[in-house]
Order: sequence, then structure tokens, then C-alpha cells
Amino acid sequence: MLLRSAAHTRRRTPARSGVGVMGIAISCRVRLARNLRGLKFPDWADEAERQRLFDQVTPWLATDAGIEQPRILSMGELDDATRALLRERHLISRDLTERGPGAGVVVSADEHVAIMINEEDHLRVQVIEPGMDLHAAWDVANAVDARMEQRFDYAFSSKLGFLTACPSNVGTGLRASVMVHLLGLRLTNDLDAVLRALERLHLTVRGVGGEGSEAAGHMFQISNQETLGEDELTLIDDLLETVGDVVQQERNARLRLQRDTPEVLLDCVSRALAIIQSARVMETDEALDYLSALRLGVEMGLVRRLNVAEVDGLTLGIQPGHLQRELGKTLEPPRRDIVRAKVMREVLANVMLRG
Amino acid sequence: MKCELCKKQKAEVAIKQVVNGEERELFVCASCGQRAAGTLVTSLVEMLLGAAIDLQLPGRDAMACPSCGLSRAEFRKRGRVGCAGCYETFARELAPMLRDMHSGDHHVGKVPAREHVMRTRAELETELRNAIQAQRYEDAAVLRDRIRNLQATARLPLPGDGHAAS
Repeated sequence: MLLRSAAHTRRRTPARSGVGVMGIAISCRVRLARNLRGLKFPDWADEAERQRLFDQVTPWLATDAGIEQPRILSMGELDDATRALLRERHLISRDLTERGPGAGVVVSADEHVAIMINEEDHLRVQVIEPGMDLHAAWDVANAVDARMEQRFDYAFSSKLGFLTACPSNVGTGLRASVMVHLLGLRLTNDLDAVLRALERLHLTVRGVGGEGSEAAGHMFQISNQETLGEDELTLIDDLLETVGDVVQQERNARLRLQRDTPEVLLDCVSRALAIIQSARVMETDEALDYLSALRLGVEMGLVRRLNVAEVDGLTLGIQPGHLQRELGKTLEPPRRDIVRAKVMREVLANVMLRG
Repeated sequence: MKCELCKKQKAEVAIKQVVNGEERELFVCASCGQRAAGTLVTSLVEMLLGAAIDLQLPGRDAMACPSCGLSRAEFRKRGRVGCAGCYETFARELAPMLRDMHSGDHHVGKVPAREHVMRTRAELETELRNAIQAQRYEDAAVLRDRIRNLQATARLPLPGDGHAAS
């Protein structure tokens, strides 16, 4: 196994179920974009320049950046399934999966910290934490950055701060985000209004999704849009305040469903379970939608013999990169859909509705 | 002057057209200009930043960033810069972009230690000059040592050294 199996990652939500325990904020991330003075930014540099930077910085990043049990992964050497696997675990961006030699990532064994090299910027540090503990993620990212700035001469201007390939990232170079599960708001038909309100607050919302639809699985990543003019902790606290409101609205939506229209809630969960237990062919996005319903069912105490950690494990496990890694071979999409349906059926065979 | 494209209407606007890889300016009528704009404008950024300025100031596209060679036209097309130096080269184009993207216009937040070092060093050098002028030689010796220590920490070997962007 390239990385630890799905059940052992640090960002895993603790196993829990029952009414009142709602893991609406799934995980959060802090990303810092950094570039080196005097070097062309990756998209304007040629492959030899990118490769030279990669070769020069990765040994140091692996030993001295404060990353535990680091792995160096070079995009030039990875097959498609491994790229997909890294992407599905949110260790690398979609952008990086499409890059070749000279691009790569240094990642800690527990997948807590990753530094992408030669993505859009020379270096991008990212730290993932469970729930919405962005302060913890910031502390770690800040510590890694503090080591890096001793070693590297950053492209920095006193007026514009950290200089980045895209002007939308200058200043702090910080992108903080929280991944939230908003199926309750979807079921009460309030989701669109909430998402529109977030955009008016200069926050970016995008579906985390699967392959086709971005909104698959009702998982949304909410992040700060602006990076210049506020310090890091202000950006983080502003985001946390708003995400806190969203989490509260989702919680209220779930409680309203439970009180006013329990049939709607139960229908959503029981249909998902019935289809999972009988389907023979299933695409990723469809599977993510049903797993989203089961997650809600577990958190609302409607489902027996299933916990959130198992839902998390499957949510990763049925995605193309993970599925192929588990099988140890490459499969064409139609074949994957058959295997996926089988895995879902088998893993969830004993799950039942409560009472 | 007649439109250089349809050769019928009166020429009213100047457009840029690439012919055999060479960019030249054409004087065309309003409708030909509009039609050409639809095919020439490749991105929103280019449309917003480029077109309006180009019509008045032909030739500005030729200017490139002295640090990395990114041309103005290429910068407009990509909406991204080629190196840190581009922020100075294309400061005029970047200003409205930054205004649209961010509510603040200057950095607040973390400053790399190295930058502190630079700033502190300039301050120490001023103090050192003052101390020497005032013949406070003991103070001057302390200040000199502090500057030397700063230099030792600031001059670590860097990946960028010797490979500056051409």
C-alpha cells in the first residue's frame, strides 16, 4: 500500500452514531502558497527548470520541514490510478494530477501535512485536520512555513506580501477551507439560498463531488476568496464564523426534518440503503449520493450496524483510484461500476434501518 | 479612410490582427471591428485589460518582463504572472485586477523572518552611522557585531542562487 489504508488516516472522524451527534463539518484545510525569489513560476518555467527546483527542494523538505515519515512522490513516476488516489484523499489538487515531471508532493505518512512542488506556485503547504479545527491546521502550516522561510528566499513584497502566480492569491497566500455535509438543507430545499448567501460574503463554495457532478454526495468546500488586506487569523476567524452559521443551519434543518417530516428523512435514507443492497451497477457519483444519505441516517440514529467511520471508509474506497488500488489492477469505467456495486452490497449487507 | 476589411464603410476603429505570425494594426469600420473582436479576444481578462488600452496605445504589448521574459500580451492572455518581478513590470495592469479580487490593497499578516532581517539591518546600519558620528565607539562595536550576525543568518545557500530566471 502506498499510503496507509483508509481506516487509519488522521482526518478520520471518530466512530460514533446516535441522535445529537452530527459531524456536519467533516474536515478542514489550510493551504499556504509560497514562491522563490529569482525563479520563474512553474507555468512559465520550462520542464528542466521545474525539475531542477524539484530535485533541489524535495530532499530538504523531506528531512527538515518538520514532516513526519515523509514520502516524496514525483508526478512523472506515478500511474493514473495513483494520481487519482492522491486526489481522492485530498492530498494533491486536481491541477497537480495533470502535471508531469518536475511536479510532485512531499507528504507525511499520516497524511496530515503535504507540500506540493511546482503546482501553480513553487511550493504549496497544506495541512488537513478533522472537523473545523482550522487553528490547529494553521499552527502546523505556520510552523512548516517558519522552517521553510529559514531555508528559502521567498518572493515577497512589503506591499503585496507573498507573491503568487495568480494575483488572486497574493498577500497571505492563505486558503482556508472547511468541508461540510449539507444534505439536510438539500432535503428542506434551503441549500441554494444558503450557498448564494455565502457567495455574497466573498467566500468560495464548491462541491467536492466525485467524477461527474461537483455536488455529488452533498459535500461542499467553503473557503476564503480574498487573501490580501487581512492577516491570516482574521481570514480564518471570519471563515469559521460563517461556517459555524452554516453548520447551525444544517443542524436546524435536520432537526426540522426529524420533527416535521420524518417521512422525508426516512425515505431518503431507506431508499439509499435499498438501492445499495440490490444494485448491480453503480457510478461513483450515484454511490456518493447514497453514502451521503447513509451518513445522515447514521448521524440521526436511523441506521443500525453502521458507523460514520465505516461510511468515511467506503466514501473513499469506492472512488476510482481507491477501487483500482484495492483490486491491484486497472479497470475501465463500466467494469468499475460493477465492482463498485458489489463492494457496496457486500460491505453494507447487514446494515438495517432502526426499528 | 475606408475600412481595410470590407473596403466599403468608413474606418472608425483600430484593431490588431495577426497575419502570418506578425501583428499589425488595421483600421476598420464599426461592424467589422465588432466581428473581429469576437474572434480575436481570447479571454475575459484580455478583453477587459487589453482591448481598451490597445486601441489607444499600439505597441505596448511588445514590452516584456525583464526578469522572466513574459510579454504583456501573454500576461493578459493568462491572467497569471511569470515571476515575482512581473508584479512590478505589470503593476499598472495588475492594480485593477487586484482591486477586483481583494478588498484590501496592501499586505497585512505574516512577514518572513528574512524580511525582518533586512529591515532590522537597515535600521542597525543607520544606528551604526549615528554611533560613529557621535564617537560612541563601544556602541558602534556592538552594532557592527549584530550586523555581522544578521549577515551570517541571512546568507544561507538557496536553490535560486546561480539559477536566476533569464
